[in-house]
Amino acid sequence: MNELAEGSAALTRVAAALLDAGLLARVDLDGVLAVIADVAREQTRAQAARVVPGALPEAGDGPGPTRLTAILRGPDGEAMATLVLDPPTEGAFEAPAVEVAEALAHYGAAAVHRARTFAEAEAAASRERGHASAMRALAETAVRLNAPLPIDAMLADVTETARRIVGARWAVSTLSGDVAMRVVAAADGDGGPPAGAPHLAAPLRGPDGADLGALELFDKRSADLDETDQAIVVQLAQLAASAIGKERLLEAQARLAATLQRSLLPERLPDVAGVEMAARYASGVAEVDVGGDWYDALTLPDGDLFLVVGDVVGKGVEAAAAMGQLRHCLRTYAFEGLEPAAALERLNVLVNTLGGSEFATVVAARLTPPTGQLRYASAGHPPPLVVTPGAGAEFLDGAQSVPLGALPRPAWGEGRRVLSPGSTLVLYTDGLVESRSLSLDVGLERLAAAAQGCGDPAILVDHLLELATSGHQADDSAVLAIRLTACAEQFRIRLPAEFASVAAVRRRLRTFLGACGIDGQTTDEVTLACSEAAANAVEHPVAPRHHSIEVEASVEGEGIRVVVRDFGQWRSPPPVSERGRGLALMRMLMDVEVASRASGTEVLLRRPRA
Amino acid sequence: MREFTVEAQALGPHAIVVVTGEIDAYTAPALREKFLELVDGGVDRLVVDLRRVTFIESVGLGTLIAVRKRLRRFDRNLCIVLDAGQRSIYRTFEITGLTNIFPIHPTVEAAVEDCLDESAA
Repeated sequence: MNELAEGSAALTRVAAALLDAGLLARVDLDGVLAVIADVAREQTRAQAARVVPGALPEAGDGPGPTRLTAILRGPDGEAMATLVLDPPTEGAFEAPAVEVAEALAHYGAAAVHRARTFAEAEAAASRERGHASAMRALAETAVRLNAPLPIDAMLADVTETARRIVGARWAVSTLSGDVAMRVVAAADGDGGPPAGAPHLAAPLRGPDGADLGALELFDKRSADLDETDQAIVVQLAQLAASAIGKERLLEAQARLAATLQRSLLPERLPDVAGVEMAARYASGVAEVDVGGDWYDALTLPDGDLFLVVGDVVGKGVEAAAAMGQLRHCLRTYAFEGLEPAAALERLNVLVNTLGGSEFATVVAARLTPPTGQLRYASAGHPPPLVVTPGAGAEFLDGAQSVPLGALPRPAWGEGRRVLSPGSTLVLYTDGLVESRSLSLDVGLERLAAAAQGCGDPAILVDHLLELATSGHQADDSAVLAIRLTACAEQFRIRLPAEFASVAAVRRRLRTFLGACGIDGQTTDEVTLACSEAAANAVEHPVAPRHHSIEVEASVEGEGIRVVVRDFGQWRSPPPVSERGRGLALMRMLMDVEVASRASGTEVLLRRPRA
Repeated sequence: MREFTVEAQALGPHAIVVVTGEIDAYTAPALREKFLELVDGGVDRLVVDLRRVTFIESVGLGTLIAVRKRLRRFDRNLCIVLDAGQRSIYRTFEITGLTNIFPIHPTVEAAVEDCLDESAA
């Protein structure tokens, strides 16, 4: 009795401590329950004590001494849990045990309530933190998708972000339509998503409501999903769909502008004896940066070449369309016989009457290939570059005027220059020499250095564009290079013994003959005969020692001499076929001598210069 | 550098073939293939538009002759379209005597009238 009374006092202290623990929330709910049970067992000498959730019948039934129970009630009187005490091993509870149990249940209830409240607050805070991090991830994703990215990269980003935020094992995005694709993000590397319906899904809808595809999440226990997850997935799907829709539109616009741009550039450059010419156009870094740069080259009725490079200020379809207009007008003026300066003057009138904000820079030049005479004029355009063998590079800035559309009647100057054989003229747009990371002066120096190191115009223009793009040029660029070929003493070329080589033989031979002043018809006929002989040299040898053919040509005094060699033995006798017709054709065009040896066959073609 | 292309528009037994580029031993097989495909498909009247051809050599001429031989079995011919500016190509036809064999016209319309419209007769 006494003992129990003391026990009761101790109990009160323990209960107060419990309450503190609950209040301070240093002990979690399970801990609080365990302490209550322990104290109760000690203080009532119960054989066992436990706290079970909810309400239990006040007294146990069945045989033997009665069980003792006490209900832990919440603030509103509801039964939170029940303290259940089994009677001591020998006999029943002593009378005060009931009082102890009641008191313990009373204080314990307060502790349980505090611990429970705290646990709920903890859980809510954790959910909040989860939401905050999900919102942050959403916002970050939105920022990333705002940058121009390829569609597959966007989709991969959104898919993985959705999977991570929701905590699913797999996320799958599918796109249908023109550019169909499927992106799978997995928590671990193995396998793919399970068959069957996804646990969460959201449609991908374009800005116009068009159905683009879906974002789906798999293998997350549905008990874990809440409406926040659903909302996040829907948000991400909207972000992705809107970005993809925008990107598709941009890509379509870029394709349209690029197609238009290319359709407005000349399909091919004129083939003129005595010059080698090459031109290239490159759009800016982003395809959408198609601009109004162009190049043009045409042969005038008198055989002169009219060369143009220009740049309409602006980007996209409008700039490309304006470029097309200017290009065709300039061609017309050139055909009408206007000199470069006069042609630009006319073009300026046109640009001014267009009335809009059109603004363009153009350089135009007229070249007489046999004499190398050049006349040029520039409307605010970077100066043409001339590279003369043995004399270095020089910019022709003697005829600079203002851009087209800047003034109603500016003064137009004409520059003149005689280009010596072997020299190269380079016309280009500013994209080639100027960028954010490259000042104009440095760009011009670099251009001059590159042009001096390179003879073949085709290689030169490729090289120049490569230089410009390696500097991350943002602008588009056009470049046209033309070389006056010098008459070499001898032409010699060795190529793989393939039919595909023969076109190169023809091209190089034409250039050589043109540079040596051989007229067009003779050049055509010699080239045809040589082409036939070269095709024979590719086709006929059996057991060749070398898989190559060699062509040599020279203009000696009044005669043209071409030698075509192979390094194998011909089938004997030479087959009668289409090639036989080739030999007949050769004989109609030139004197033909065929010398066959063990080391190979040599076909000698000769004819007078004209 | 220059691309070689063969494009054909066939309508029943009629076809117009447009060739672009240089016809040599390297490119002629593609041309021959296209012709065979058309003739095997029942085409027996052909207009071959060579206005965008910049070079032709014997194997190309041989290809045209081979097709002509097949068409002659049906008592048909093929017409060539050449532009007045293509002096060098015309000359190649001329020195090989092919101007006597192939009707050569300056426009597709004229060639069509000559080679395709005879069916009406």
